Amino acid sequence: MSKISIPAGDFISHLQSEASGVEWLDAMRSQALKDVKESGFPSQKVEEWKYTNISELLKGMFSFAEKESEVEAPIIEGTYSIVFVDGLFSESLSNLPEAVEVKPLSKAIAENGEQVKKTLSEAPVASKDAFTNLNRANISEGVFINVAAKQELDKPLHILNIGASDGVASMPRNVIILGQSAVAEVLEDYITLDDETVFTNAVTDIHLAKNAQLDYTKNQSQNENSFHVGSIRVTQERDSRFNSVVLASGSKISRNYLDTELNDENAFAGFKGLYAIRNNQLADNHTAINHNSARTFSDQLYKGILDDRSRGVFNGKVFIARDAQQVDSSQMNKNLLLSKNARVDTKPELDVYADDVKAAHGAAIGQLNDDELFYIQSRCISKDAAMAMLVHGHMEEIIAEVKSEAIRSYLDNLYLTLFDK
Amino acid sequence: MLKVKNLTAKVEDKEILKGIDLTVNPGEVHAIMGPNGSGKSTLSKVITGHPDYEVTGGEVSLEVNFKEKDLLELEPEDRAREGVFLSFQYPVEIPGVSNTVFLRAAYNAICRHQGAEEMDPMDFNEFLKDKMELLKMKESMLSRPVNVDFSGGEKKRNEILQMAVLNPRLAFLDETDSGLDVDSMKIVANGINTLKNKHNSFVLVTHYQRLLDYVVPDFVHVLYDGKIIKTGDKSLALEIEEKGYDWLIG
Repeated sequence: MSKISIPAGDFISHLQSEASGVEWLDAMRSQALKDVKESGFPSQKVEEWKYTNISELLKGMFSFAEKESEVEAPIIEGTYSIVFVDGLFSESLSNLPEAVEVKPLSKAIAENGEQVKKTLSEAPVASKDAFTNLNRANISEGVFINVAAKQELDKPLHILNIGASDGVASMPRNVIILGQSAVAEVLEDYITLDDETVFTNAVTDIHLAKNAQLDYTKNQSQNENSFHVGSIRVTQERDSRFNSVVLASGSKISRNYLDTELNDENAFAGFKGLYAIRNNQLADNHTAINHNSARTFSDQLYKGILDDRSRGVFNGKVFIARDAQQVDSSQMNKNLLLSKNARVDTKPELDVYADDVKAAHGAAIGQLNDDELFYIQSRCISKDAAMAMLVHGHMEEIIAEVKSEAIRSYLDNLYLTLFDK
Repeated sequence: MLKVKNLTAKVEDKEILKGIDLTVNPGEVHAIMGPNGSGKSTLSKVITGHPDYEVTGGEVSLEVNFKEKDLLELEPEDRAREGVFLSFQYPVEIPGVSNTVFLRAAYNAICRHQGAEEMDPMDFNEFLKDKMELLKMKESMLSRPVNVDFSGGEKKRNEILQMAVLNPRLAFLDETDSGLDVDSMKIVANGINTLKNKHNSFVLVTHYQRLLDYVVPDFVHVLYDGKIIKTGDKSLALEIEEKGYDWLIG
């Protein structure tokens, strides 16, 4: 192991939580801490991290916030919200629904101990790497959502994580459970308000019971000094629908991992993604769609827009199990390079063990082309405006997949002017 | 209105236009015919300013309000704002940009150029209504992204809709008839005939005379190997339809 990993020592020396006093939780944490110390962090010699150099992150000395900073939160009208500032729950900034169980994880650990313990213990191990272990070693806060069978969340929930203080780390642990035929829409959102350097290491566990539908959006718009590692693991039962949109425009280095297990017939996963980056940013997207059952369906489109010297990584795996017949899966990664110094490494992967399936996959890297620009210019629109229009169009294609109009317009404001000159 | 004198142009070191002379007056309809590879599409792209083509000699001027403007000096968008339009043989798809947003951006760019007030979305939708009707286009076409998943006929109608909105002085229609069924062809031709008046001019670039049954040209030019080798009236198109191009090429 020593050859392909970087010791965890200095980096995690400030990142150890005090005992929670909850026995099972402290046992879980200390095991995870032991694991991460042993494994260290992945170097670029590890295939999964080949294109993503995290040494700059590991040089940082981050620690946890002790008290909540006073900030103004950008609340989206027409949504519920649960707000965390530097990883700490802010009751005053939050607006929780009454009919559906939504609470900070710390409260759920006290009130729903058995359920939380079960969920965290059963969380898929597929992505059990150093960062998820580091998160596990520090489980204390996050959002806990439990939508009961047949219940419907009547407005979208905005899970707002604000990084406010320099040098602060936060490790949200989010749990989203939808019972049979439950319906909900959530936005998991990571922002900073200024240029303070923060490190976020989030893990979200999602379980969709039979016929449940979750419209899930993740946005990461932290400032360009910051670091973000995120891991989302989904398990889906029969007839469930997971419609996801994962957006990233922030951080110096960001990595997002999204994995779903389609465990029974007619489960569907939609993976839509956008990384829109500039300057020296790096955005790494890893996804995995596991068709573990026959007649499960997935549809994936990740788009990258990269300017200046930014770097993008896409690695998407589609796995179709033995006997998982009549699966229909499509996967596409498209990249638009706005500068000759931008670079993207893309690797769509298909792993099929059944013989009666439809599986399409592909990747494309291109630039704005002269014919497109000329067409728009020939309609009286200037070249700069034509370029902006094409770039907006590419981004809008993904943002338009978000269900809630209020969230879409919030995201439009964050994204549509990113590349305007 | 349009004066082209001894125009020569190349693409990637290959000379395609080898000395074109053409004069188009207000109210006239010209047809430019010719076999594949003769330079028909190049001519309209050079005049509208496609960056892939390099003009190596000659002049192109447009008379606007009694003043001659050198088109070759202008950016493509400025040529368009002066009233030069090109209906594309292969209209480009623009994902994520709705047809109505695109049309309004184009229309308002002309308004700004002419110092007129821009139109707000409500008034613009009203303004679009009879133009949509003229081309028998469904309102749902407005909210769809420009040309994305449009059929061949829908794309061509959408080009003519853009022309109707921009109301150009001089329109080049590049192979507008290709790939159209008879119904779409009639709709498109009716659109052109409705927009035609004594102040504007049309140049129909076409391989076949099919469209010319519906939009009657005043002049027919035959382009071959980068030069206009014959000019006649509408009977020339019928003759070509009957005998092909070989008798002209000799």
